[in-house]
Amino acid sequence: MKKIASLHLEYLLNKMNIFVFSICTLIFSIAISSNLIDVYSSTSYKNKSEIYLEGSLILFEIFSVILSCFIFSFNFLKEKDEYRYLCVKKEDEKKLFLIKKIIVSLMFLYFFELINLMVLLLMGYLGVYRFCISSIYHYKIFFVLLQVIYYGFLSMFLVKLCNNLFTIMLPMLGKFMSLYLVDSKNEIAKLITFLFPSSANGDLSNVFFICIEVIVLFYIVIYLDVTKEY
Amino acid sequence: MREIKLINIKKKYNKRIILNNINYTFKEGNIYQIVGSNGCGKTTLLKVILGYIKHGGFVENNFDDYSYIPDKINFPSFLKVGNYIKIIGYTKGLDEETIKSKSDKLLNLYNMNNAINYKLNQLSKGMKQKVLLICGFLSDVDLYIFDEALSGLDKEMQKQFMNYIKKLKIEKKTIIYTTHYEKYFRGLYDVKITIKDGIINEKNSKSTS
Repeated sequence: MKKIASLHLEYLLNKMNIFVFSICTLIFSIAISSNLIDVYSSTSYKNKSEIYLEGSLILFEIFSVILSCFIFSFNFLKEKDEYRYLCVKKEDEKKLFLIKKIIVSLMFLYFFELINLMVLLLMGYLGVYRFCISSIYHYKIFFVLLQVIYYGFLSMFLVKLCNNLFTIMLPMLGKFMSLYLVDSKNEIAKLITFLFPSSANGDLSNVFFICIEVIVLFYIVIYLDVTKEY
Repeated sequence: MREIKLINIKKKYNKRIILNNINYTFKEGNIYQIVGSNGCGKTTLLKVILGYIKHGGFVENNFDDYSYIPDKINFPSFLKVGNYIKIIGYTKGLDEETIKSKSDKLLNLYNMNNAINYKLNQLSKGMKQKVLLICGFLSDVDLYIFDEALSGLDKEMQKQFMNYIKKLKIEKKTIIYTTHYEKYFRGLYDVKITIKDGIINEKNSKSTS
């Protein structure tokens, strides 16, 4: 287990992943700083921590989803998976190889998410007077960290199906539409916000549905990987 | 005797027939050379043998273990050659001592001793091919399958590769390879298989010489 996992990790630590993460973190930091400036110009009745966290968590959510879609699509393209020829020989090993790669990719993604979260919190502590996080924001952070699995698996599913990096446009566009339509009450908007969850509609029933969707996507991806040619 | 039996193998890409009802048996201890023009189905045939792609018909393979060396793979950006070979060795189930003794020999054979601390992304195409060959030869198996093993290698290294294949031949290993460099393999193979229009033609080297 450990050896294959370390091989996956070495492959994940490629120039492209590092580059995309660095760019994402840089833009995220700039956006958070800009949000911090807005906090002080705001005349809202809410306290400064809340204003800062509401704006920053939306940014954290968007950047987390972009990063997740990228990591779970770029690294699961057919040509990025060719090293399996050197270590996979039997049908069972094929499954294990992918499961381990998914686990390592998740850990890799969460490491980057953690760095972004640290940036968010550090800027909050440094820039907002009497900065504190209420429990509702703990839940929102948890929800973001859960939904990145869903968006990652959705991207991985599309890549396994089409072997094309452009397929990540679908979950990303879905995510943006879902954020835009969150207050709409019509049926289509409800369907979009259900298929592409966001923290704005992240109640407990949605957590349940995301878990179900993640499990279903996981099994479909395993099935596609084992039955599809490589 | 171990063998790989291909029974009514059919393979199409879109509507193009690549392998058309192929029946063939690869027997233990022989060296098979597969040749044919670009896109004729050489790599497809290897992947059918290994079960990497879906196809019509059946493959009966009773070899326990094999080593497959594809024509190319992607390499990690920042890993060093020595560490990569070590990790691949571990994933093949080898212990540290075996990996060290085997990789030292192979690195020496392919003139890669000095490159052990090079990062993989700094290597030329030929050097990457050598790393791939070293990884393929790490484990001692009875069946070796190579896809265009000579591509990117200079003449000296091609010679070294041939010598290694000759050594494996003496050890009665089964080897299947595809190539465009037929002249380099002259006298090495037992059976030459030509793929054309989805059909394979076998030529036994002993019967032709």
